[in-house]
Amino acid sequence: MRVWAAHALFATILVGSLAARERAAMTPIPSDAFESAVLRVATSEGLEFRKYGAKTTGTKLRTLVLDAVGCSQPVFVLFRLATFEDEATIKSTPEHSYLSQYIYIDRKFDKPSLRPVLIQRIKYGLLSMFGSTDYAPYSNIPFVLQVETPVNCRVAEKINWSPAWSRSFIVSQ
Amino acid sequence: LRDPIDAGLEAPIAALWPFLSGEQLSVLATRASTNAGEARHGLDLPRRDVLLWVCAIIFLNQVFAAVNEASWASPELVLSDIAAVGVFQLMAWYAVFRLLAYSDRAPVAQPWDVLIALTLCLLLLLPTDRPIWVVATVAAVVAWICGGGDPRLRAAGTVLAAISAQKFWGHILFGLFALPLLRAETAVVGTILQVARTGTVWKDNVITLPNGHGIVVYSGCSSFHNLSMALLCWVTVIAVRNQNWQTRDLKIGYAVGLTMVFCNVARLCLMAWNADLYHYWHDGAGAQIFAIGASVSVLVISLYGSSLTTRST
Repeated sequence: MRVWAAHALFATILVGSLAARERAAMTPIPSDAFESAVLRVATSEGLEFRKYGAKTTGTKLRTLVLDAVGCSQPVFVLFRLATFEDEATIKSTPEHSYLSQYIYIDRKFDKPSLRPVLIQRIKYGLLSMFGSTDYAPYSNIPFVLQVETPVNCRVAEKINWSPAWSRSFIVSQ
Repeated sequence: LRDPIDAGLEAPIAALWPFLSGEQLSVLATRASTNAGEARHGLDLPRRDVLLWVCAIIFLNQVFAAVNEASWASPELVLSDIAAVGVFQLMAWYAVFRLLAYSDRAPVAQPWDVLIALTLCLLLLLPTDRPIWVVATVAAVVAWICGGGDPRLRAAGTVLAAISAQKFWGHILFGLFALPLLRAETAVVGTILQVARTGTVWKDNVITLPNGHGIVVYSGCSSFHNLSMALLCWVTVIAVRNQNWQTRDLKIGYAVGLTMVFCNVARLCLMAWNADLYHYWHDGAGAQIFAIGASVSVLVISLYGSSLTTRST
């Protein structure tokens, strides 16, 4: 290969890669946009917003207090760091009357388990690397939802929260 | 370092001109222009130049991504965002280009070298930031494998791997062990404070003092991220000053790491002491004092340690 041809080829790739980056540049997602995205998912699934609760330590996001039809007590949605390093500071609802679920995109866990969440983050990180998913696991939303639903509150238990992590859903508001 | 013999270097250097000093640019450009005629006569591409191109493409994509992100906020933030790439990172990139530029140009790139380089660079056409560090890691491995007889090429690969580790792999590793690491750090800080102030209690990553003031140690406060930056500084300095690694270099690495952990633990102790000190060391001038003080310390230790190694060899 002639030297000048190789240089020309690499120079073209350099310009092309910068152009691709410019074309694909996406608006950064502010973390508080996730809060409103979660609220939109909840209301679109039939829950009714009652009030904001306290902020979860380590995040700037407020707990959502929601009412569900047919449920005697409110549903709480807490924003948790995906590393669960805020675990020691979380005050949960009484265990006997509430069911806690930890939700990360399309997976639900009964306990705050770091490894399954990390695996999901890596999975969606890889998929987003190749443009195969709209979820943005490594943007400004490194959060897991802790959803506390009253026992037998089926409406809240069946909610699909995954759109809240979708970039297009978040920026569409 | 010996003089570079830089046929065919003009193109990657031209791409990097905003980031090289005038002196270095002129040295490289002079060498490049004297050899350009030779290159035009159809000489094969030196392997070193292929790696220079790959690194130039990775680096410029990283800078471009930082500028692009800043442009969403305000044009005034562009410079600060470039600065946010990090002094140690910029230093590391400078080391990579310097080592590559001064490495042996005699080995000619084989077709598979060019093929691997092109494949790596083509990955950067994907519309995301993440492949940059995967590509950088593979490029580092290639530099290591190809640079068998050339310590500068291998050293450039080492620094490139260190940059990728600091920017990408370290975060994944930290994600795996975040809680145990934070708890361990809390245990150290909590134990020190228990000795200094009776009645201090700590549990998981929470420390509470007898006056009711307490702190939660989150990843942002952890030594881990500072440590990865400090180790990048150490690897860069050692790679530039002495490409043949020795046991003494590892001792310098330990010293650098311990210094950074000590600084961070001291800062956490001060933040836990009372609310005023917390605000000073977390949000106030203390945060800058810590950042500059810790950075200067690890740089001085790395430079001093590497000078001892250089003298002894």
